[in-house]
Amino acid sequence: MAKIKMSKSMREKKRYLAFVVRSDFYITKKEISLAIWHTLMNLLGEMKVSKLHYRFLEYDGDSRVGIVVCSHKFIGEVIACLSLIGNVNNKRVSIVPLAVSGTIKALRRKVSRRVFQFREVNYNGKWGEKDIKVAQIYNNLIDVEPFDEEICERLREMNMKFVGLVREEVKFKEE
Amino acid sequence: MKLKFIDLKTYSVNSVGVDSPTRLIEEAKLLKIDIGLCDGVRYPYLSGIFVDAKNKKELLKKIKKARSLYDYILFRGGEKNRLGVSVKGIDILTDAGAVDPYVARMASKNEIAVEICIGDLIHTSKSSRIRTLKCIHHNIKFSRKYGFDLIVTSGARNRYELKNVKSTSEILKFLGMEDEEIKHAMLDVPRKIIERKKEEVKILG
Repeated sequence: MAKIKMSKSMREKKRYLAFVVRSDFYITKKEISLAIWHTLMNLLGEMKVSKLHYRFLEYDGDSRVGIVVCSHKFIGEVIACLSLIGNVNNKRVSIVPLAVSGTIKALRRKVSRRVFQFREVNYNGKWGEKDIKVAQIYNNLIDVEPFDEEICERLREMNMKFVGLVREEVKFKEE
Repeated sequence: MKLKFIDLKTYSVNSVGVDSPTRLIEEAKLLKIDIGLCDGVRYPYLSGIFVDAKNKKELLKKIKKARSLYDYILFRGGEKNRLGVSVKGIDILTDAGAVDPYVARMASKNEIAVEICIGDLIHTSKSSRIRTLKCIHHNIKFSRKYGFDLIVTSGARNRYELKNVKSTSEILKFLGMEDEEIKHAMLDVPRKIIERKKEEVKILG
């Protein structure tokens, strides 16, 4: 399709939206872009999506931060749709909007201050009487793999891998 | 005034969730929201309990017992909506579906808040999501007519289901609520429920 040249005043005003994907699993760019697209189509419909001027710009699987762009009039709808995504390919996810900006440069500056990343570790430990394997740590927050059958069943049902604890609740030793 | 969110329906590992209560509190701090746990366990932070009964007499007995221990009381509605709103003392009517005029009138009279659960929207798809949306629209309409309070909750069973202020307010706006109604459902109503308990404690000494 030929690109239409438009004067500046006629162009649609854009808003860049940065978001972070929170999950126990690695989520690829293709998975997340498809999930967002399907949610937009399901919730808003073809007519409204055509007015969104939506584009998926980028997503980094390691930092889990992505950027989408849309019309400034519909930024609220896009945030609502992103927030209503709960599962991607049978993996529990949560999409948290980080920042909105009119330029991508300002957005990157805002985002760099708000991202935190879990560090992968491999410790064995105890949570009360239960044996656990510590898998991820961020400051005070610890994600663990339990061996308790009941909790494993709940995790499977929720499409999750780890139980969330805090450091004070775990007694652990390095392997 | 800056918008805040107090989420009064979350579950930890002590009931049907997977995360420890302390972890959920920490996650809520990161998301800049306040939460209450409705596991039916008394915590040092906001704690609620679900009560269930077959009749009014049993319900009153259970409310009396729960009042002294917990900060707020929830009642699972659905087919029992009429029983839930028939007495004072219940704070939140959950899973109510589409309320009828009698339930709406009684909820308004007995100061019972009807829940809008964001988790229901996340966990459903296609026709079941349409049904959930229909119920929410119906309850918003009835709330405007009969004047009962709406309260928004996440129904989070894990840390990923907690929602921050921005997400929640945009979802509610998307559902057709006005700014004032959103503030009322996210902050004013939960605050009123918590303060009601504090006043009761003061009166009883």
